[in-house]
Amino acid sequence: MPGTTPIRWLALLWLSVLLACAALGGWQLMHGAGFDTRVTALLPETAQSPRIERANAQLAAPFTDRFVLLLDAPDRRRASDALAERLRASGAIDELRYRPGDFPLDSLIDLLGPARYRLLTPGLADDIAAGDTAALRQQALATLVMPTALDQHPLRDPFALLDRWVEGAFSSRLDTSGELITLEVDGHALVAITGRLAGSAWTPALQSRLTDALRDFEAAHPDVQLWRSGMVFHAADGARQASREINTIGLGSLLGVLTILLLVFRSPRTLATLLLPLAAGGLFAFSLTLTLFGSIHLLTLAFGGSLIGVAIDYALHLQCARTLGGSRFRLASMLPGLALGLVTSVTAYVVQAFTPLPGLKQMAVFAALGLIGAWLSVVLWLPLIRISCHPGTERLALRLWQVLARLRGRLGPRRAALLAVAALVLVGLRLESDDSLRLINTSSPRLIEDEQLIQRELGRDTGSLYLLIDAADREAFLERAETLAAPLDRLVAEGHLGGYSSLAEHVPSHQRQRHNLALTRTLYDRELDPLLAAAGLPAALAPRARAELDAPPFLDLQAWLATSAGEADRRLWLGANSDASDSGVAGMITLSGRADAQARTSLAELAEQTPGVELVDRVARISTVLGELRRQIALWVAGALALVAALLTLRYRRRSWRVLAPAGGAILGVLSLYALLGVPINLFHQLALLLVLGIGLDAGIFMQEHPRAHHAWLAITLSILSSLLAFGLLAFSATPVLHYIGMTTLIGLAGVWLLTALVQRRESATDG
Amino acid sequence: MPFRRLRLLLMTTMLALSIVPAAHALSVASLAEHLAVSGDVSGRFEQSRYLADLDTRIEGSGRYRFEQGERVIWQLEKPVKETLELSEAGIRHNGEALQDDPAGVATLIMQLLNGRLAALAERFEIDLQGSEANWHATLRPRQAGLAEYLERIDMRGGAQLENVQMAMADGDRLDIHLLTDTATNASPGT
Repeated sequence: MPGTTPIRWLALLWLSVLLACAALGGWQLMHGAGFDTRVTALLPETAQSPRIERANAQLAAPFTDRFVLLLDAPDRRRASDALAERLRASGAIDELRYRPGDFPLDSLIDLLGPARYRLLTPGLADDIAAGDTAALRQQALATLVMPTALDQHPLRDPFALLDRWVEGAFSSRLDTSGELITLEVDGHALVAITGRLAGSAWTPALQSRLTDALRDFEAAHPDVQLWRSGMVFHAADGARQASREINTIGLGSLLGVLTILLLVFRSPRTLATLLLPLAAGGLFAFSLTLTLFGSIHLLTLAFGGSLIGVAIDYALHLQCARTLGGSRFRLASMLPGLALGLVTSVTAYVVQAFTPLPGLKQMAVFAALGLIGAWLSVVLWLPLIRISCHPGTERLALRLWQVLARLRGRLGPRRAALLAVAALVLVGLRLESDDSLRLINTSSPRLIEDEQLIQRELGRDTGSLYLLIDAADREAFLERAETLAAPLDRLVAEGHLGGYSSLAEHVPSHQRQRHNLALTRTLYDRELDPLLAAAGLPAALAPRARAELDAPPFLDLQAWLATSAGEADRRLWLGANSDASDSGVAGMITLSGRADAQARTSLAELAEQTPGVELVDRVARISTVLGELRRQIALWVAGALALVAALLTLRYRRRSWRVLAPAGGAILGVLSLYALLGVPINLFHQLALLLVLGIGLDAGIFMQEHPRAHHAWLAITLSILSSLLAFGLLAFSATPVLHYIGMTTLIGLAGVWLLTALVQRRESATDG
Repeated sequence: MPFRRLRLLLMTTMLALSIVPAAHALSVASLAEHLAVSGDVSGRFEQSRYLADLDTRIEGSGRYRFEQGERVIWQLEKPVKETLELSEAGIRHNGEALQDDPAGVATLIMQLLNGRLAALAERFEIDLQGSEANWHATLRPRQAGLAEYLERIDMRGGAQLENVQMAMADGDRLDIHLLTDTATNASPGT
């Protein structure tokens, strides 16, 4: 063949590039680069202050680094021990607590004792202020006789203030009186087991070690019931389902595509030449994406796999043309169509790289690289490989052409325009959208039920709704948190809010501690003498007891947080703001349980009215960003489409509408169908429409480039059929994201095929 | 908080043992067996709290009553009236349900009273000495957290439990002397 020498050189160059890529990818995989299964990695790096980022990470940490199990069994002790043994042996955890002795204990007496006169629960402070102290004396007397209060002593603490503070501020639903830590749920005591993961909740190896241990345990103890809470279980659920489906669906579609191609070309060698560009494109995209991003998201691979549909287009067109054209085949006549196909598809995908969604960026880069790699392999390598022709292929192409002949010309420009306008009106009026976070929820209903039960019963929160409080210093912070207590208590009392956790509950501000000390003095003045007399103690003790109130130390926030008792509160404290210009401090009040619309409105108002307080609602925020993103992508793609349309007009002039109709019509068709059926459109539907766009544009271009060529129609049909196989199966996925993508491409691609045929100019005869 | 649980545990431990009719053979197992014997017991108690650092005592007295398998009532009369009532339904303090006290405590207590001394042995090392007519049990906490606060509990008795002495780590003591109205099937507390 003439003019092949430069191609040979280029082909060799491309081969060496790919070999380098393979080496690069392999090296990366061996040096820690890996796969990412985090659903949240798809979400935008929100343009918010690093302070909120820090608050988010800190609040979510207990939920991501730890997990909670509730256990019920006929013999709870034995079952708990057996479970603990299995969990420890799994190597997935580095700490497990389910017996009272498993908790490290600082002495609360040493820690809070000195400041006890400054620590009064709001109820006690109110009672003293109201002069309601007789009952306090009676109770103090009883516990003086029977020393059941914590460190109650006639001199140190005749009124058992420390005991009251500890009981009031640290009441927990967990029962630590027995040999096991239990939690009563619906009148039934369940063993509460908390564990800390030995690594990241997102590590697949750790997930499977933990879930395997639990599964083996459940299999060995069928009479034991377990409830789970913790990010690690959700991550494992999502990753397991997604990877299982990608494996089965991916494998199924690959086998289907191979079978069809083998039936059409009847030549394993041709089949191999069709798959070679896919492998080359995949390798190119995989290693470069891994290099650029450090890791590859599982969904990028799923989406990338779906690109087979577009990538195989080029190989199909070339090989169909060569098979049917025989010696008349010239690469030069194919190049404009192939080049336009690549440019239009890459344009459609590359737009996504401009969005702030990291997952989407990665997908866009992966897709563009994969397409370019596949295209180069098709153009540089395939012409060098001999091809065998089978008469069966020609017969099939002819039969398909007859189908096309029956369909073509049925949709003229006027009717097409009318339909497009009708569809646009329908979409504009009826199409709804859904940007809720539920879209990316991959957890099983059972796990979600478990999670809700445990979060409700334990008042555990995921840190997704909180008040961020800024203040000049620690004292100002605590005072601000104290002013928020009353409105929050009201919301809880009225049933709008489940509960909240505030540092001020455990460490009063100095201002309040001063006020409390004054109240304690009032209590002593009024009740100390009668108390000592009733207990039969010498009156001479009174001045010594009063002397303790002279200058008691304050309970300090930093000191509290440093102790093991204050460990759980550390997540609520951000401390000094990192930027040097601002020396202020910040912390959070987390809101737990259900928060209804009324609560959210009140909280938003509260944050608005209180200076330095901000309401952070991560779920609402993510939904807003998802919606914003969906609109942005639509806008960018519409822009890209306008650009592509202009480009196409340069070459095809008045025939341009026939090029654009398959892609545009199919997209409008899908949207109209969703509008009619009331299916709200989401981000993932839209991503799938990008795929429809890519394949639709290829189909339109090739039919216009080779209007009389049987090979073009054969290639288009095969391309759509293989993609339908890949995505038709995705529509049956239980992973919502994959389901949306599958459903949309299924309908869209069917539309592309039909429209490609319908809009072709009517011809009287077939002239090859 | 373990301290709060401790006081209820200790109190009811005494009550549990106060109904031991007689220890045939001195072992935890046989004591446990006797704990399962049904029958209501009631009587008077006198107690004295000794404060080591002040070298002084606080005295108190009242009535106790145990309804086998159902209810325990500890009624302080002097120097102040206070009633603590434990049952399957939870703990009532002067007739009002104790809000933040989970019913798990009551469950544990009921187990104790019904002879499940094994649970008590989990938390205390129990050493039994003497004879049926004059026995002496020493309980030492196993948990370091409790041991920091409570050194030991001594119980002495014959046909009945007669004395309980709690020795706290700081030298304080609590002595309780129990007097039973009638040996068996006492009439309800008056």
